[in-house]
Parts: sequence; structure tokens; C-alpha cells
Amino acid sequence: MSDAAASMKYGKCFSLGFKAAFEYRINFLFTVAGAVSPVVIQTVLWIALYGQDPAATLFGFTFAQMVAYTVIGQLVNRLVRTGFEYELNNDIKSGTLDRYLVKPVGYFGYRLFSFLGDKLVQSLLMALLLAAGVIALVCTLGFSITPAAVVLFIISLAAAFTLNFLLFWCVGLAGFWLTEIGFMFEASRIVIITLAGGIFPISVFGARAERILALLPFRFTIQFPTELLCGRIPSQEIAPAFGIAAIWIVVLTALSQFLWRRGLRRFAAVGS
Amino acid sequence: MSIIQLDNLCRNFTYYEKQAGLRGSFKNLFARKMITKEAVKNISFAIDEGKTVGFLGPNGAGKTTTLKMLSGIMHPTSGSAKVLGFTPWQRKKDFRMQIAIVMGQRSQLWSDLPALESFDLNRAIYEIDKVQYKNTLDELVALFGIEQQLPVQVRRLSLGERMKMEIVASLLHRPKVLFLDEPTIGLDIISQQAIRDLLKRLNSKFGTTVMLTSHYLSDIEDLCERIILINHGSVVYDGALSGVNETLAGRKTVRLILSEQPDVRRLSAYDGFREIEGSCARFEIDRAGVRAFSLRALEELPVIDLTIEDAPLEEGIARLYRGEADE
Repeated sequence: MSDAAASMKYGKCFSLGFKAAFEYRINFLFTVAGAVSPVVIQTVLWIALYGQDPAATLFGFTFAQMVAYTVIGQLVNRLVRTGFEYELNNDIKSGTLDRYLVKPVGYFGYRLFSFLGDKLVQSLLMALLLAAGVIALVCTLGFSITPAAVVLFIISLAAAFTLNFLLFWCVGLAGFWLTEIGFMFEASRIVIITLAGGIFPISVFGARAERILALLPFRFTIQFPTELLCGRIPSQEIAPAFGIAAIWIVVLTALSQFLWRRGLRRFAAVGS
Repeated sequence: MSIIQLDNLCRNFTYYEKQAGLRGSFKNLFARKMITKEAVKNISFAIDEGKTVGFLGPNGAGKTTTLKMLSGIMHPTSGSAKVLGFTPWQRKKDFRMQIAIVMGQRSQLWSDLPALESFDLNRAIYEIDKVQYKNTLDELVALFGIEQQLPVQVRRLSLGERMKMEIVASLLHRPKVLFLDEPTIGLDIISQQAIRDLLKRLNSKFGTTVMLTSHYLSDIEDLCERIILINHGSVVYDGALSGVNETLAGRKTVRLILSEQPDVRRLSAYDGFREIEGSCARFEIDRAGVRAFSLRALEELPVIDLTIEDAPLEEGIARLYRGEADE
């Protein structure tokens, strides 16, 4: 396939996803509410835990750092969050996967780009919220960010989205073997978000767990970008961390291709 | 030249037997009995380019399974098939560029968007040249009379309108082979008629080879000169539509108009009695027995009028489904 034809195909998937998202305007409001409420709950919790002592540190965070982590972490979580897995599962389960298999288009590319299109508006909204959150943090808690941190943050966010997409793609492909996996998505989402540091920093689990989690893909989906923006990652650790993330992207890409080929063989064998 | 060719195509499904009740479920945890079902058994036939062929059979006969194998969605258990010179289930890009399948019960359109958006996506997917796309679309829109519905969200369309859109979407790349699985299912008579007219004009205009399954015999009668009838996974009839009744040794329908409504029991004494509606009784009689039957009926019943005609197609098809064909 020529590059022009391919970019045309997936560009169209993207634009259709984008247009379809506009059909559900009220959804945006809920998305914002869904992002704000955990931040409020967690901040209240941290206020209680830190008490009145302004110099107290918990798990290596001062109160100001913890609030910054909570706000930014939650918004990063929302930015990289998937949602295509239900459609993937439905396509496998109800057999609607058929309609893509007979067309000269790659299913992975189709889902990826229509999902990106679908997510665009929501993501812009989240990015605005993030900017507002950062400005508020700068004004109230003396939080400071550097332009270099912003650039690294944006790059790490792209890696985070890729990793998260691949993780949930693999989870979704389990639908080829298991009939009912709707429950699995929410369960695995909670586990992945927790291990990614999306609820609280992973230093909460202790130093040993932190060392192990540093090598797994999860932390790169939330904690790593968040801490980059907060300027909490020592500069000599940044490049190796990106290296580990890149390795995981390669591994998960290979795994998803393997699962897809196996699953498709099964799909073609079982029928629906 | 054959554009579709099947040789001894077979497809088995295996699944586990599930016993009813709690006890059955518990037992299943430990010992499951594997069942093999032969959905398609040694099917062979060939279809020439540009022909419209009806593919018939009762529910579960293996029609959809066969279409899925021919469109490349499913692998066969054994046997071979060639469509446009390709082995479908290898799913080569060149193959996928030249075929289309429409399943009446499955939509390929984005329900939240107007159909035009899905058409545009197909234009990109099938790499259709802009000018050619516009010409084809204009032609199809005029043919199908759907201009008004183009900007409407697909989920707000009626079933008949949506089906027209589905067919348009699958024709934009001018496929050489089109598989239609129940394109008129659930449609009212007017919409069925409209879809049929379109398919007829399509065939004469585009020369598309069409394989069509339907439970509505009027679809088949209108569109197909040839039918392939399968039952229990095997071909039970392959030939001209008009030949269906001949293979059944020429059954005839005899209708009697009676001056008084007779007792059903009295009519049931005659072989071949089917039904009575008001004063009109209907019988299905072997050709050889028509004379004897008529003489007896005229003698014994208060007959005002008597007509003899070929048995309806449904009767012949139903008998083929039941496996009563005289081979």
C-alpha cells in the first residue's frame, strides 16, 4: 500500500471518530466532572494526613508536591485513558469483526485512529484543564515548571498513550478466548491505574515495590510523565527511563500482534 | 468463465454439549462432551461472471457459513475454493479490493453519522479515485433514490433506507463479486420490492456477479435464473429456477370451487389435500394422477369450478428442504 493511500485511510478513520464524538456533547461535561471529583477527594485526604505541619513529608512528597502530583496525575490518567476495548470486545463477540476483515484496511489502525479522533476533543479539554491546574498550582502552592520539563512531559505523554493503548489492546484481545470479559476491563483498569501511580504515588508501596514497578510498563503511563512535569526525576534517570518505555512499546507491540494472529485464527475457526 | 469455484468445500464446527439445569452445569465443569457438527459438507459448484445466483436453504443449512468462507472470513475444514482466482481465506489485499459482502443483520455504517461519512471512509479504504467515486456515487444515489437521506444520521433511517445505504456503501468500489446475505430480511413488501429492483438494475448496469441468500422466494424469482439449494450442508438442487418443480416430477395444484362448504374430514380423504379457504379447496397432485383425481372430485363433490396449474415454487422448495426430491 502506498503511504499516501494508507495515511488517507487512517486519516479518514480519525476524522470520523472526531465527528462521531460530537454527537455526545453531554459526555464532555461528565468527563470533566469525572476528572475533578477524585482530585477533590484525594486532596481532602492528603490535607488530613499531612495535618498542620507545613514541613511534613510523606512518601518523599511535601504537601504541595503531593497536591501537584494528585492534580497532574489525574489529568494524565484521563489523557491516556482508553475506551476502545469495549468496541473491540463487541466486534469479536458479536462477529462484527467480519465487516473489517473483508475490507482492505488494518483493524488495529482502524480502531487506533478512530479512537484518536474520538478522543481528540476530550483530550483538548483535558489539556486545558491541565494548563489551568498547573497555573493554579503555580499561584497557590509556589509550584514551578521549566520549559524543558514541559517538552519532556509532552514526549512522555505520547509514550504513555502508546503503552496504555497497547496494554488495553492486549486485554481486549482476550475476548477471542473468553466470552464475557466486560468485568475484566474495569478490574484490569483499576489494577493498571494503581500500579501506574494514578491513585497515589507508587512510593506508597515501599522502596522495593517501587524498584520493581520502575521496570514494568505501568508507571510510564501515569507516574513518569507526571513526575517529569513536576521536575521530580533526576536528569541522569530520564534517558534510561525513556529507554525502558521504548522496550516495553516494542514488547507489547509484538505481543499484541501475536495475540491478534492467534485470535484471528480462532475467530476464523469458531465463527459466530 | 467461472469467477467463483468451490471444490468439495467442508466446514465442521465443534462445541461442547451443555446439559440443562444446575446439575448439568456442575457436571460440565468436569466432563464435557465434544460435539462435531458438519455445517458444510462437500459443496462443489461454479458460478460464471456476471450471473446472479440464488443460494437457498432452511435456517442452519450452511448458507452463511459458505458465504463467510467465500468472502474470506472463515477457513474451511477441508476442500478448496477460488474467487476471482484467489483463495478467499488468504485475504490478499487484491482480493479484498474486488469483493463485498452485505449481511442484512449487520451494519457496516457508523450509526451516529450520516451515511455519506461512511461512504467517504470506504472511498479512502478502497483507494477510489475522487472522480470515479463521485460518478459512482451519483449514479447509485440516482438509482436508489436516496438523495434526501444522505445527510441523515444512519440510526435515524428506517430499516429499508438503511439497507439501501448498506448496499451503496458496498458498491462504491465497484466490486466484481457481491455476496448478499438476506438483504431483504425484516423489510416491508415495498422496500423488498425496491431493493429487488435495484439489484436487478445493478446487475445489468455494472455486470456484478451476485450470490444472494434469501428466505423470500419472490427475491429469488425476480433476480435469479439459477438457484443452488443446500440443506444439512449439502447441495440438493442446482439449476434453473423453473426446473425446481420438474425435479419433483411435475406437481400440479388443483383448486376446486364448491357450491357448499364441505366437511374438512371429507376432503381429507383425498390424497394431496392442502387447505380450504371459504369455498375454495386446494390440492397438490402428482401430474400422473391429475386426471383420476379430477374425475373423482367432479363425481363426488359439489364442484362449480376446477383449475389446474403448476404447483407454486414454495411447495417445490419446501419439498426439497424436506429431502423429498426424486433423484
